[in-house]
This record gives sequence, C-alpha cells and structure tokens, in this order.
Amino acid sequence: MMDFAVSIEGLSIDYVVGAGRFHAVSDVSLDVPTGRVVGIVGETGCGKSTLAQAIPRLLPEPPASIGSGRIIFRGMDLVKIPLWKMPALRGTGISMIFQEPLNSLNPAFRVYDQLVEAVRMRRRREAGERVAGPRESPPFDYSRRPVPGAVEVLSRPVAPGGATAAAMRKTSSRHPELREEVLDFLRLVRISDPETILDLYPHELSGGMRQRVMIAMALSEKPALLIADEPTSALDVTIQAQVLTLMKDLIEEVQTSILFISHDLGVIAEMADEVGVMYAGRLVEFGPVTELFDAPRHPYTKALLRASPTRYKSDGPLASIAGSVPNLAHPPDGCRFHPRCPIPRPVCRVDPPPPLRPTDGPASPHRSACHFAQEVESLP
Amino acid sequence: MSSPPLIEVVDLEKHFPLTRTATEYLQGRPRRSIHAVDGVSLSMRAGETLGLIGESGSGKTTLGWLVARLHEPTAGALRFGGAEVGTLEGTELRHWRRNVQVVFQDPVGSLDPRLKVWQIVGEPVRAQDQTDRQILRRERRHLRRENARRPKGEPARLLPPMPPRLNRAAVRARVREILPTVGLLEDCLDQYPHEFSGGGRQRLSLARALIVRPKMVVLDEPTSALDVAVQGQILNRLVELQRETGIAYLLITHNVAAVRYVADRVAVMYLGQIVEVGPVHDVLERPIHPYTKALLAAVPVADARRRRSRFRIGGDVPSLIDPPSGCRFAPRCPFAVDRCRDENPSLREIPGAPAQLVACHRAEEVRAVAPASLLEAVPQRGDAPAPATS
Amino acid sequence: MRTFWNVLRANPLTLVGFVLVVLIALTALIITVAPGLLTPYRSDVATNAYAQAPSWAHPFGTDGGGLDIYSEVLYALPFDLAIAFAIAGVALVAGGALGLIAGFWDRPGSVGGAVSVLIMRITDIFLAFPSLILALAIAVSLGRGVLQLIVAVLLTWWPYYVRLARGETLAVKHLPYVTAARAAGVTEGRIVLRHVLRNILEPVIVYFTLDVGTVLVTLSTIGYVGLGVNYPITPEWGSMMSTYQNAGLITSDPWTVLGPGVAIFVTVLAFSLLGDGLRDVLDPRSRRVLAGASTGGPTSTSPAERKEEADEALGRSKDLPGAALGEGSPAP
Repeated sequence: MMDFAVSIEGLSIDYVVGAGRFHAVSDVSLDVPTGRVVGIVGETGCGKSTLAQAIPRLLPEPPASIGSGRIIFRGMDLVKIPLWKMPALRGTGISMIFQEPLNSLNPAFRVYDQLVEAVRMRRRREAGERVAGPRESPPFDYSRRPVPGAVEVLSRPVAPGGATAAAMRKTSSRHPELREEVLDFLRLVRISDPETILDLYPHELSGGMRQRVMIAMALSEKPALLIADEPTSALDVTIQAQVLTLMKDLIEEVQTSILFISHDLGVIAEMADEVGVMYAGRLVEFGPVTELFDAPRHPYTKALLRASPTRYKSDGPLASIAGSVPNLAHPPDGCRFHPRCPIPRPVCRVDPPPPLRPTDGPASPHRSACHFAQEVESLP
Repeated sequence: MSSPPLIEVVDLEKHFPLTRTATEYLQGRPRRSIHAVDGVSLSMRAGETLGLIGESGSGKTTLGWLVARLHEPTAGALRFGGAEVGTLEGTELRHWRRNVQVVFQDPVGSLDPRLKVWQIVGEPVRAQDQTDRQILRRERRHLRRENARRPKGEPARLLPPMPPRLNRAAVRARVREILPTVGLLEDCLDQYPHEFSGGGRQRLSLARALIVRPKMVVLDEPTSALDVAVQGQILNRLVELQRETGIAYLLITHNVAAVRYVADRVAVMYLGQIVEVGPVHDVLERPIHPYTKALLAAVPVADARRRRSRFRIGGDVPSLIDPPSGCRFAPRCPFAVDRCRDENPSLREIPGAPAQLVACHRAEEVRAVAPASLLEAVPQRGDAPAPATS
Repeated sequence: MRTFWNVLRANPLTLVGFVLVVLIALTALIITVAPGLLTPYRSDVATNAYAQAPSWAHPFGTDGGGLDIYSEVLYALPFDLAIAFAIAGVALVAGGALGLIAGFWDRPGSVGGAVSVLIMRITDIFLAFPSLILALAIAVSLGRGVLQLIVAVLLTWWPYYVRLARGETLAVKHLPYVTAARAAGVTEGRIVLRHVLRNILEPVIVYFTLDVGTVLVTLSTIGYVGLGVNYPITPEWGSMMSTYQNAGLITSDPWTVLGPGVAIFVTVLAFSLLGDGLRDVLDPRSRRVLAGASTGGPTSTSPAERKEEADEALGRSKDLPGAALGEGSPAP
C-alpha cells in the first residue's frame, strides 16, 4: 500500500467570470507518493497552475470555485475544510514556491526578516509540541564542512535547549541563535557568504538568488509536500540549471514529496520521477518519466515531444500541433483533443475517454486517456 | 565581397548614463553608466539570418534596437548598405526606417489595444507615405526657389508631382495583401488585437513589420511568449518567408532551439560583448568559448536520462554597470587563468575553425572540451560545485 | 452598440446611473426650451402660496417668498449641470494637455524634462491647498457672480487632471506599441495624438464623469456658504439651501432645504454610477468579457486564425498522418 503525501480525486475547478464559466480543471485524479517528485506538464491554459494553487487552497475563491472532488492530505479532505483553518496546514504541511519570486517575496521586507519569520513559526510549533524539559543539542561546527547536511539541519529542532515555551516566544528577531539558523538555511541553498544578503531587499537580489531564498523559506519548515509552480521559468538558462541542480541535490537529501509544475518538457524530464500531462483541464497521460518520454501513449504527449524544436533548417520544417487550445468555457464534446488529433475517430467526437484514476501498486502504471492509446506508438 | 554587407557594425557602444547620487556628485566621481553594448563588431549579409543569443544582461536586445536605430549609439559606426546611419535623424531617419523593421517581444503590448487590425498593420505604410510627401514637399520648395532665381531665358525645371493622398481604401488593400503571407485571413481587418491568441498577435506584429517590404527584420524574442506548439508554426513561417523574399533576420533570443532552426550564423553575447560568432552548425555542435559551452550544457533536454546531471557553472551574471576589466566571463569560467582576469580578449580566428571567431585567450586549449563535461553525471553530496581545471 | 447594452444589462447599478443621467439631461433640455412642460410656474415668480408644506400642487412646498421650490430646483438644474460640466471640461482639457506634455517629453537632461519639472512643481503648489478652501478663498476675493464662481472652482480643479494625465502618459509611453510606431517612422506628434492620447483618454474620461458630481458638490458648497451666485436672481441648488438656512427655515420649514438637497444627491449619484460603468464600456477588452463568455473567452482565436490553422493542418502538416479533420476547432 503506497503512502501518499497528497491524493487528489476527481477534482473539478471552474472560474466564474461575468456570464461564463471556464472549466479550468475537469475531473483530475492523481497521487503524489511520499518522497517522490511528480511532474505536471502542459501548455498555457491547461489548468496545471490552477490545480497547483488549489491544493493549498490558495485560489481566490470568488472567481474560482471547486466544483467537485477531494484533496486528501493527512487524512483530511482539504476541499471541505473551512479556509480559516488552512494556514495551520501550510508551511509544515504544504509549502509552495512560485514562478516570479519578486511577486512572492514581500518587497517591503529584507531577506532576514522573511526567513526569520519562517523560523519563528517553526519554533512556536515545536515549542508547543515539545514535552517539557531541556534537551541538549550540539553547537554547529563549521570547521568540519562548509555546507551542512540537509537532513541534519532540517530535523534538528530549532528551539534552543533549556528555554521554556514562553521565553522562546519572546525571542526578538535579532537574537543571535535565530540569525545563525537563518544563515544555515541560506547556506543550505548554496548561497555563499549569506551574511551579505541578509540585509538586502528582494529587488536587490538577482533572480537566481531570490529563487534560492524562496526555496530556503519553503524548505525551512520541512513540509510534507512542496508544490513548485514553474519555479525556474523566469530565470536565465544558466541560472535555471543551477537552481535545478540545487533542487536535485536537496531532493536527494530531504525526503519531501514534490509536485513540480512546468510547461518545459526538458525541465520536467530532469526533475520528475512520474509525469502527468494535462490538456484543456484534463489529465491525459500519467506514468513513470522514462516510459512517458520514450514511449508516450497519448497523441498530445507525442505531438508535444515532437514539437520541441531540435533540428536545423536544413533538416526540414518543424513539427507543430495544428489548431490551438480550446476555449474552456465551451470545450469540445467528447475528447477535448480531438480537433487537433492526428488520429481522430468518430467515437472521439462523441465519447470522452474515461478520466485517469490511480491504481494500487508499487509504481503507477503508465495510463493514457485515449481510446486508441495503443496506436500512438506507431505514429511517426 | 562584391557589395557591402547589409548591416555592418564596428566597435559599437551604447552606454546609458545613470543619474549621480548627491554623494557621488559632491565627491566629484565621474558619472557611472550601464554598458549595455560595449564594443561590438558584426556584419550581416542580405538574406541571411543572424541569431543573437545570450541571457539577460547580455545586451542583445540593446544591440538589436541599435541596429534598428531605436537607440542612438554612443560610440562606434553603424552602417547599412555601406552608408553610415548612426547619425541619421529627423525625416531622413524616418525615411530610412522602411529598411529595417522590428517585431517586439511582448505580443500583447506591441499592438495598440484601441486600434483595429488594419490600422495597426497599416500604420507603417501611412507613416512612410507621410515621410515621402514631406521629402517631396521639400524638394518642390527647393526647386521653386531655384526656378525663381533662374536667369532669363532658361526654362523652368519641372516640379515632381505630389502623388494622390493615400486613403483608407489604399491602406486596407495593402493590409489585405500582406495578411496571407503571415498566415492570417483577410477578413480580420476590423478586429481588435485582443480577439487573437498569442500566436495570432505575433503574426500581426510580423505583418506590420513586413508591410513596407523591409530588407531586414529584427525579431526580439518572437517565441518567448508562445507555447511550444505554436512556436513551430511561427518559426516555419519565418523560414518560408525568407526563402520567398530574401529578407534578412536578426533573431534575438535566449531560446537556443529557435536559433538552431532559423539561423544561418549565430553570435553569442555576454555582458555587452560578443564572445563567439560563426555558422550555426559549427557554434552549436562544436562551441569553443567556455560560455557558449556552459549555455548549451544548461539547456534542459526532454530526455529522462538527464536526471543524473548536475550543472557545474556557478555565479550570477555580474552587473552591467562599470564592468570588470579583463575577460568578463572570467569570474565564472572554469578555465580562467590570471591572464584572463587582466586582459579582455578580442574576437579572433582560431586555427582549425576558420569560420568561427572566438574571444578567449585559451581558445585553442579549451576547444576540445565538450559542453557535456560541464555537467556532472554522478550526484555529489554536500560539496559546493568545484570548478574544473582542464 | 450591442455590447454597450450587454454591459448595461450585466451591471444593474450602471443601468440605473445611465437611466438617471439620461433623465437628468432630458429634463435640463426641456426646462431650457419648454419649461411649461414640466412646471406651470415661471422662475422667480411668486405664487400665492407662502411657506407651504409639500402638497400635490407644490411637490417640494414653497418658501417664504412664495416661490415653488420644485420649479426652482428644476430651473437650477441646467445651470448647475452646465457649470459643473464646463468647469470639469475645461479642467480636463487644460490639465490633461499639461499632463500629457509633462509626461511624454520628460526625458532626464532635456528641455522637455525641464518643462515637465516646471509644470509639475506649479501643480504641486496648487495641490498643496485643500481644494475647497482654496476655491472658497478665491470666490471670496472675486466676489459674487457666475463667472467668478467658475473661475474660483476651475483654478483649484485643473491640477488633478495634470497628475492623472501625466501618470497615465508615463505608463503608456514605454509600451512596445509606442516604440513600434516610432520604428515604423511615425512622427512624434502623431504618436502622441494617435497612440498616447487615445490610450490615456479612457481613465481620464471615467475620472471626468465621476468628477462632475464632485464639482457640483463644490459649487453647491460655495453657494451654500453664501458666495457664488445670488439665489433669488439665479437659481442654484447650493445658494438655495444657503438662503433657506440663513432664513432659519431648517427648523420651521424643513422641506425647503430638502428639495435642492435631494436634487444634488440624485445628480451626483447618477454620474457616479455611470462613471463606474463607463470604464467597462470604454475598454474594448473588458467589453468583451462582460458581454458574455458566449462570444468567446480570453483564449479563443478569431475565426480568421482558426480557419487558417485548419487549412494549414490539411495542407501542410504532412508530418502527422491523416492530417486533422478539416473542421478546425468548434465554434463557440
């Protein structure tokens, strides 16, 4: 029986704008197994960001409305929980990093202030949960290695030994121990000389640095689930490679489950263990990363892989996908991809393929929401 | 070399001055500036595509705008068809603009939301017509004055006639002509930009650029705001158009795949300077400059076997304000030696690769290093990335 | 036009505002050309009924001088409306032009930059005073009369438009389509008129519509305080209220003040509601969304594109076998 960080069942989300309803997400089910990275890939408007933001209930609920489905996290259905209870679950439960850190880091606060807030939240939580009594923790020895092991840093309780809960809550942000914690987290994300950036504002940092600070903030609470919504799309190519390398290293060391959203197939290939492909609000294919990229079972996935340009002019014209993304207020009947599909059949126009459902088993089998999945292999 | 190159740029510089703070002013420090383009020399032939790749802060967009005379160079020569255009202004500049047009990056912001398609796409036609009339009027005035001064008996010189005004119908006809070449239907003349998708808007921008039949189009990140599926359509169309009309492109992008497909030659920019330039196949398959190698290694590839790779080039792009002396990539270069930090290398030919120009002191030694070696195949725990010494 | 009605339908408050404004405008028109249609009494002519409470014959009652308040309110309508529009209109044109100049040619270290600084600092000086106080002060020094009233309010009103126009201009002038126009060879002047002016007009017009109400209140306040126009000679709502209040009628005959008060309230409300809705009408983008998602959402393509892509699919995509069926994407 797989252990899941989060389990999404039949989730449907609509946006109500003016007189219309956009069906942003339609009947999506997927699981994020503990300690694994699940990637969601799709083009603009496929609903992946909506899905990502719905899990920690960060969608603005008046225009968005969760029509049906469940999000099971730690045994609770997050759809049914009242919004005011959600902050307690964010942070150590579900943490999120976004595409443009200039928007998600508060521009009015320095780096130190933002990180220390995360550290203090965790302190409070741990102070509240701890059994009374002092506990020894060895001082950190920087002479031995430049970068601390992630597991050690994150699992070490941030509350100093010997302090009572009340005293800890009064700790001012300039307390030297808090400062050391913050510096440790910054070193964790491979920022050399973190002292230099403590007093800077987000706009004074480069894009790559900002994203590292975001990752530090997200991981500092050791969440059970980390949702990364296009975390490197706004970064330059070499900086993106650095940040992805950092994330790969951290994934190795920290056993957080990750839901990684991206429109870039290359990034997903590098990061994910399992991949889900979304189109027009539906999950059309799901499977282990190597299988999905080597032998896709849905025409859209195959077309997407072929559309990524990798050739020279002299090799002939580029492949592209005819048509364009459907209007989600009135999606096509039947299979939503059928107007652009290279192998459309009459049944596709009328009968939507059954939505993908996770099945029990040690690893998710490779599933595809296509009536003719077995024919996809023979497409050029 | 029978005819001069279409575009020739010699030691071009564009510095944007920064306002001095009060303390700097009082201390008498010289004004600092952003060295967006710092000594670039380049040339393009008619009908070819030059790809300009680089990351943010490389100066590629500024260089593109300079070539289109949307900026005035602070130093250096900018020549079009042999003639100096860096100092053009006023009516002459506006008249020259019909030779080089621009397609901008942002498909939403490039089109005036309050105007209809025919007005947007037809604008360059009307503007050039206005400019023509202005020049003609000047000529006629001049001739009239000369005629008034002529000695008796000499016949008056004929004034060139003013052409009929370009009216709505004429503009609409021109727009109707150009739309099919970018793949749009002729009946969308009265629609507004927001009724089009991102790909459609880029086509409109392209139509607007092509309607005056320029010799060159500067394409600034034409595919960045588009989905992968649509990118292919636009890139295909660009290549077809070039085959049909012989137009030249300056393709500015950070998307290496787009350059690979469309470009004939490619130039790699870093921090305001060109570090490598050559035929696209040579530069992308056998890059010589360490930065080019790093750039190519960093591009994510849709291959699941890449999951074990770790990118080993650290550091951020330094600031364009008062750049360091010496090679600008030296702080991040895994092959840097002392000479690199002292002396800024200039573009030179490398024996064995005559078509490529590289700005690297150690080009001969590092040329054999493949980009893949900048990626580590084995995951490492805990250590900061260590620079390779080759 | 159809979208205009759709917008009105979508937002009931805007509809109310629009209807009210139309009624008010009509009333103003009728009162000016054919007052007999709306009221039997002529302006400034005393009736025989003195200080009577509201009744069928006199819906707002009469005042001590025997004037029918309802009629006076109606006669004051075109006056107040015209003055408010005039003031706001002149402020819009003058302030807007200055703001446009100050915004567009503002480049550091150039003549335009210096001019811009000059304009903005003068504007700041005027903005430093609370507008009402300044208007009152000017009105006092100028004395009573229509022209004096207009000048007083106008002088305090134009700076707000300068700020607004300049801000919008600064936002627009860096947009790619302005640069694109320059790249096409359009002259600077034409760029200002064609691109910048059109795109800043919308927020400025919306502000103007809401502003008319504010000007009206200011006018009335000046009248209420006893400055501006002379009531019995020239009907004006604020002056009416002031006169009645000075005569101590608020306690004895409260209906007298009610008439002009209600008129001010309704007029200002009408313009405010309309102004709010006008923003949605003027922007071609939001017009679409409001007109109903049935005409297509933000991601739909125009018919021109869809068909062409279907054509392309049929003709060109030899890569994909059995190229896509020629139906393209379904019509919304």
